[in-house]
Amino acid sequence: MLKYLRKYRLKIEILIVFLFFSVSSFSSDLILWSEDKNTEIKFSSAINPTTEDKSNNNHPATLNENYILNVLSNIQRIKNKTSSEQLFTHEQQKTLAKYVAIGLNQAGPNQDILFSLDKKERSLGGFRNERYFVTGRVFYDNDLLNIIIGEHDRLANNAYEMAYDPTNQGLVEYDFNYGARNTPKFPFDDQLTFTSQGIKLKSDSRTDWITADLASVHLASGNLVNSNLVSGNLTGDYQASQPNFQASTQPSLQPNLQQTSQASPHTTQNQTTGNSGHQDTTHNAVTFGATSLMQRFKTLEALRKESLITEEEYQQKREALLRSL
Amino acid sequence: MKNKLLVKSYLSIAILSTLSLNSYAEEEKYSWNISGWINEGLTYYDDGIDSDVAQLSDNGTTLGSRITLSGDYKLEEHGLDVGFEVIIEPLSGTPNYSGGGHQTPLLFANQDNLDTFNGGDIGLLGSSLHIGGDWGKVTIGLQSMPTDNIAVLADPSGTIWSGISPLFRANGFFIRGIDEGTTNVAWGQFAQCLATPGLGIGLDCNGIYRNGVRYDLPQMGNFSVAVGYANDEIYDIAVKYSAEHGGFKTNLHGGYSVNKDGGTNVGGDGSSTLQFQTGVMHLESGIFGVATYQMEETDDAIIGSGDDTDAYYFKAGIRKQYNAYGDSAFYAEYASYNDQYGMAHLDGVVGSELNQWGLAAEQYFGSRFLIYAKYENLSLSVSGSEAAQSLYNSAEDLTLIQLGGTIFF
Repeated sequence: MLKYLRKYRLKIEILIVFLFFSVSSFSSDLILWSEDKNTEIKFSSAINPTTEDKSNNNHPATLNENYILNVLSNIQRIKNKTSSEQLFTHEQQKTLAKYVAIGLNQAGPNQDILFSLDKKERSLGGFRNERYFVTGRVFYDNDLLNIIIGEHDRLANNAYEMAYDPTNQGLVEYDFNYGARNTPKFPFDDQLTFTSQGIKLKSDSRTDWITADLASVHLASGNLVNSNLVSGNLTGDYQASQPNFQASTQPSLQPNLQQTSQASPHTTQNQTTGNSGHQDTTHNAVTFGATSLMQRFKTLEALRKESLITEEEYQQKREALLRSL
Repeated sequence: MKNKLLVKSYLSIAILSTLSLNSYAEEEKYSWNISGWINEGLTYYDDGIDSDVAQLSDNGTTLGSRITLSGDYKLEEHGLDVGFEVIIEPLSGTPNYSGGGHQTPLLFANQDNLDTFNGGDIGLLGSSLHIGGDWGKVTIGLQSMPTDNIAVLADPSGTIWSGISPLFRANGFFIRGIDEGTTNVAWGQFAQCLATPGLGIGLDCNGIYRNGVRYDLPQMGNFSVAVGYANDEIYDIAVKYSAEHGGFKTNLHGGYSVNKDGGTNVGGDGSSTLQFQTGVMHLESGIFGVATYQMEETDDAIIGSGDDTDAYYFKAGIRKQYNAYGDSAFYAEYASYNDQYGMAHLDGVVGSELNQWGLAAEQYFGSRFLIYAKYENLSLSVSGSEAAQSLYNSAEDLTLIQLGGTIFF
């Protein structure tokens, strides 16, 4: 056999080289944003029901980028007894909010948005660069934005990258843990605290799973007065039925998404075409604001609690909601 | 006098402050870095005649301890990145063969375990500068050429610090049971590379740092291609494919090099080396496998010498997080180095097969520290004259048990 191989060695070599170049690229068509192989925001492939609890997200979901930003900016990681820090840097918040909004608008019910983002820090008096990653997944379900943290402050291994990629071509790809719905064996277990109402842990046992009611967070963040959500007559707005409510939010949502999607130099072409789970996006879209009646009652309650509306306004709106039952 | 001193001090402080501020002000444009790893191990050997513990302070130049200084400067207005890389590594205290210079310690650590083999100097492994842009990247200097490690780094498991295809660990050990009183033949004698005369590591045969020029083309999807030219007439091309698909991480590397630098260890005008390695890892289960193949030949070699060789290396295992410390890995490996007997034809050898198999366990602590334990066995069989067979086929197996650790910084 070896003799036979050697006889045709040159032909075999040429064939192999030809095959090498002709094999079609399996490049992923699920990337939303990418800086390099390790800093990406992408769609998860169809969730494998054998390993993760089968889910049916409210996707596609049209969410406001600024509302997501509000949530991300209000998540703090407790460093020690006296101090805490934001879980995501400002840069990470902006990038994540932008592409989560775009991604959820395109995602199918069984797709999550996965992210791995980095931050760079200097040490040794500025002589040494360190790179830290935060990873996780985002999805919209039960009218809540869900964020599961997979890893935080994972150090990039410069030496490892140097060994695997001697000329620094960015070839090293880390095997990140993006978190899972099933309780992971080794979850992200840093203590978190939230600086806004409407954000909480999914349960006491899931220190890695954050849920956020976007409306409550947005309103609690003091955005009520300046927001389209309540522009003009508050009572009138809330008296509006669901279609009107959508109408008040939609103009500020869709144009924003389109604008950011076009403006991004890093966004791949696939972001508008790249997955099979959104064939009927406009028809199936779950629009923020078209939430359940119960959710609107909760929002109203939150508004009153924060003294953002008067008791009279609260009662008027409550009656309006009751009438719509 | 005092005033002058004060003026000088203030001036120095002012200059240092300015420099310091500048370095931070331009941190986006200019950066430099110190990184590397220290890889140390303790090896118990049993060569069939004797056994002992040897402190082998390295595992070959590919993955031996090293310190790398690197820097990058972005010339944004021109769309260019320029930078440098200097790598230093520990060396043995004394030259080990005529003209060979100081060597990385383990390559020549053996049963003698001389103190001088345990490191006593540092040397330059690489020194290069690069310039890059949208059009790719050119690197000039003493560096890792395109096909260096091409048969090593397609391993997606990251367990290369304990197990790789080149036969570094046994290269320095002498074969016992072959009339060792009169001859000291190292196992590396039967793992001779043609591309790099004297390098008895069996695989990754163009795997040394060379003075040359390397051009990395811009990445094309999941492919990356690099070509190189090194002193004096060594050309190589390497193609790498890397992708994730269907829950599998797949790497496929191929490299072809021609060394026309005038001769191999078996004579001849030059040699060519073809190498492939593929690695696959199922990301969810952590199960991985690696297959490596290398073929070398030289023309006009001394008749009867090992001038047409091949080698295989396989590795399979699992890497997964089982405890809170970090990932654990368990794997088995098998390698076969064929007809790499070099000049042993003088003993009547016309064919050889050096087999290696091993079992290993690794435990990571975070991403910066790992420890490993490994059992390894080497055996040899030759074909040829009766004299050759009676000499070499009585060779005792070499057994190595290693405990080691690597820390990255």
